Amino acid sequence: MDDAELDERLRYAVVAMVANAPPPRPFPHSPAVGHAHGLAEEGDQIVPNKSNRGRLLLVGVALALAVAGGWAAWRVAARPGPVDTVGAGLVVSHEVVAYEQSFDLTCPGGEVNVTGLFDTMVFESWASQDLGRWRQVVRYPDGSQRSLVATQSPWYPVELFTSGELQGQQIGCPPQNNLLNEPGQGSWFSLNPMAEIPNIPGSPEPAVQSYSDLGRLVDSNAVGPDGRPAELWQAVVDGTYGSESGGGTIRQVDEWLVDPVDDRVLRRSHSQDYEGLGEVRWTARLISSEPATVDYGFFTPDGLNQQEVQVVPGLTPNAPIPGERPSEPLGPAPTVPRRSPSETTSQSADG
Amino acid sequence: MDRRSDEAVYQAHARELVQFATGLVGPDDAPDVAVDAFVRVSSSVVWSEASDRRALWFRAVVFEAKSWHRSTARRRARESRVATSSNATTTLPEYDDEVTAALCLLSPQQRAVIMLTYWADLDVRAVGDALGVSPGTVRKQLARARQKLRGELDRGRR
Repeated sequence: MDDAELDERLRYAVVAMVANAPPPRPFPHSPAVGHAHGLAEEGDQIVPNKSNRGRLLLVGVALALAVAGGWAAWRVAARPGPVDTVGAGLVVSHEVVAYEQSFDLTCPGGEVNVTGLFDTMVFESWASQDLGRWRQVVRYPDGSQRSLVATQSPWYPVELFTSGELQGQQIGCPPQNNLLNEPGQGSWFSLNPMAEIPNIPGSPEPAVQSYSDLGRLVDSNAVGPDGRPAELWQAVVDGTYGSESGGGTIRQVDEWLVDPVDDRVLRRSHSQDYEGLGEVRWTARLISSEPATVDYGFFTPDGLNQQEVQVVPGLTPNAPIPGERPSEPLGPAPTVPRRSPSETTSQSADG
Repeated sequence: MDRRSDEAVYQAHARELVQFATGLVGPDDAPDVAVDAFVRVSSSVVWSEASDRRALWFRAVVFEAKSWHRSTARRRARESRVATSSNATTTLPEYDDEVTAALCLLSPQQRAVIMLTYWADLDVRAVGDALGVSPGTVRKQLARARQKLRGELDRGRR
């Protein structure tokens, strides 16, 4: 089928589809409850229908009791941590990813060099498309965590705030001491973009390349982690590693299982096979990616330390949102990009 | 929230947003998706400051459509409709059934790009503005969508 025929059939199909569109619903006078649920309009006021006022009063009392009970329970069980203040107000993208890493190495000099504590962790991330706010919490098995808040872009932020320490294992075979690290190494890590990441102004290249930029579709009938149909994308890169005391070839394989319906990356695995040493690998699996509602101060970096960043020229801070504490000015803006696009893609979020 | 100005925005654009949503989730759920998206976006903190509320609403419909597709129950219903759409001449008399079925296999974001390109006749930059993504992202999604559609339609011919 040539392009012209495809265009013509597409145009016809979408126009026919739209011609079949039903009429819109009436204007939703109340965001919470519409007329059909027992409200009526009196002048400028939205009030309950008379027949429903008694019922609504009872519901209101019950809700108030439930809220009071919930508040009391929360006060009793209040847990520490900066992300427990989720309330109502702002709808954001939310992703939870389980990460694990492993290795099968035979080091010529003896023992595998392992520093850091954990080979598993959970990345929980929130992003606001319209406000340009990013927040991530990495939780380790012992209950410790580290946090990150970024504005404008997760990869070359205008402002960056962090707390906590990297606790993931770093694996090496001396003198190759950096074969496997916690992903992101303190920077942002997510399976999916969650919100549009702005391009570097003036650069024609996308700031973050996705699985479809980096890999190719190898199986459109694969099975996802949840047993549903998925697409398998793969990227294989061959190269060499080495130093003065030795080296060899290295094969790096990335595989993404992608939901064919909504393009979400469901799982990414990454392996590096070092000639003469063995293999290191990690897997990140999507646990959930449903929108979340947070309060307006959710992205306020209270308790986090502001980091100096090199701001990409042309990127400016987003305006503060109601309830959010304006952050301190960063001083003169440096002019060197924090990451180049190629550096960004090498350890980027996928999607 | 200024209810009267919100109502004016709603009345001015509800029809086209339902049409747009029809391309994303089908006619049965399009009015609900459009109105849910409006309620969500008009109660958000960015609404009152937005210079182009219609564009925000377009984005919210895509966002809502993605949630709709992720719902397991709705997914099953949708897949059931896709499975029967090739014979559904009584309910979809004017459709190019083959193309319609193939469109159902696209992601909501890809379908949004297709709708804005072929229905609204927008260029790549305007589609990007409407969806809040870069022109490069639109080009990529459009190319992937067309590739997928072509593959499906060619397979149907064999």
